[in-house]
Amino acid sequence: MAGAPKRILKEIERLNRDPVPGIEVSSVENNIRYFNVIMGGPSQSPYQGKGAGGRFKLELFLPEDYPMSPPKVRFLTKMYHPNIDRLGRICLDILKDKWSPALQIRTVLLSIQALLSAPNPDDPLANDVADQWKTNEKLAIQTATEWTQKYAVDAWTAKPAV
Amino acid sequence: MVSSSCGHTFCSLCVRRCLTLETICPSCRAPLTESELYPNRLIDSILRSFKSGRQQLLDALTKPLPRTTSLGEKTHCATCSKRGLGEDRRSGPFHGAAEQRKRLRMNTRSTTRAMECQSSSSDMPASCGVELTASEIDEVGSSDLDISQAMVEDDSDFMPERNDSGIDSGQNSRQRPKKTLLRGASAASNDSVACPNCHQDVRQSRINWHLDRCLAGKLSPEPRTESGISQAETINASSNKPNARNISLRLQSQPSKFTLPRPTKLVYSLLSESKLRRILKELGLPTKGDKYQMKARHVEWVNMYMANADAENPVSHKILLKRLAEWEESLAKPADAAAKTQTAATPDSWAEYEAKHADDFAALIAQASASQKRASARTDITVGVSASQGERQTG
Repeated sequence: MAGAPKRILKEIERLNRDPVPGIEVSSVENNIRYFNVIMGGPSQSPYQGKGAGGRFKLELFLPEDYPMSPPKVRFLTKMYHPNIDRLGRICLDILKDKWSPALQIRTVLLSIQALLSAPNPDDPLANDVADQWKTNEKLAIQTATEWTQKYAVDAWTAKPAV
Repeated sequence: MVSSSCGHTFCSLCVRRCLTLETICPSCRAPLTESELYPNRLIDSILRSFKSGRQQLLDALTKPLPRTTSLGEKTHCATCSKRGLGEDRRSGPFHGAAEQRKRLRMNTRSTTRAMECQSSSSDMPASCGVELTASEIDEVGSSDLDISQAMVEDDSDFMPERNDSGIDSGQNSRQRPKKTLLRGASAASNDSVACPNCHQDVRQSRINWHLDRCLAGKLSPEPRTESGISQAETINASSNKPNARNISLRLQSQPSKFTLPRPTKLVYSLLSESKLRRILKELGLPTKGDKYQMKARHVEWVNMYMANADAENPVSHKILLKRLAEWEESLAKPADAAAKTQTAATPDSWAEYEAKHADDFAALIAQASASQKRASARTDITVGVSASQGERQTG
């Protein structure tokens, strides 16, 4: 798509110069459309984590017709969240039918971070998690906190960032 | 630039491309059709004046600082050679910026003209005023007209490098022609005279040529043609420009006789391939390719044509056709690459690939079976093998 690479370059430039707080985006050397993202768990949420805090890995891919079609984003870190399944796929309207070319990598990642602080069990992707969330929210939040500690906090200290 | 009925502003071509896919505003998702887009001349002129000022500001800010050898040594301001203390290194560029801004205010007239000239030069279509990429439009549209930021982002060749040595690097030599162009414009205003007929400022050496044309009625006093003339002048004033470019610029600035009929939107599913081909031929477009390619070409052409009609300084249809060809080329490239990788992965080469990476496969199989052992007490190696092989092939 004509002009699209220029937009991608601009977005990368802006992300580098003016990073989003709590989100690190690093591009892969040989592929301008593929990014590794490390997202901090939002505070006041079960994904915050103790100590260094929860840090979740994501991968982000910009398809050929970006920005006319949405980026593909997936969590690589295991999550206990009603809108994220065990493969890390994310149920978020702006990543599907509500996509608009006016959105950017930055806004998409901020939306995902917002999804972490406000899970939506009424539109679930992981049914078992959503059921748990609806029937016993306290236990669900506790599980989410435990998973965060296990996969997004302790995992980093055991095996430093790749 | 065009504004929508919901109050958002976009680059005409970008928003038309979006509306081809879905008839909603990209910023607020309100229903929006192309008939509800209006050209926004104010934004056009704001962008143009910002662009003209930005180059000067950037020049001032990126100018190499005088190197201080020891602390406390005195340094000169880059623009007015006022002295400042060596420790206060920030005073240098900032002082310069203020000075530049002052000068900019005084020179707005001449620099705007010079920028018109720059923005319509044929070799930088991407950075010229007519075309903005969607990301910049986003900035303009979503963040309450944060134009300054959007435009700084537009500066694709801006690298804030500090060239301490001051010796010619590629960057410096690249910026030089632009500078001379600006200087040329202000120099032109110094030895210029007012045309007795149209009261336009013209360089002394060009006044006879201008009068001939002015009196013959070839120049209407409307601003577009004026800018065309001042453009030719400033180009002539800067002597380091190659001749061929002058000619092409002048060709471009003259109203072209080569116009193509205005295209209309079509319902492609109701058209047969031959009918579509005939329509493309009538519009003066290339007719190669299958129906899908012709449809994509027609869609892009309609968008380009309408966006060009919205522009403050529309380009000739010849140039538009060239851009269409470039667009199609850029579209074909990734498809070619994809086709190549696909041919590389034909069933014949799979066996070869498998033989070549036999060690990798063995390692993967071992890894998979080990993890399966860990996962459950009962191990079924054959399942693990086939699963890992299947994954390898689909992945």
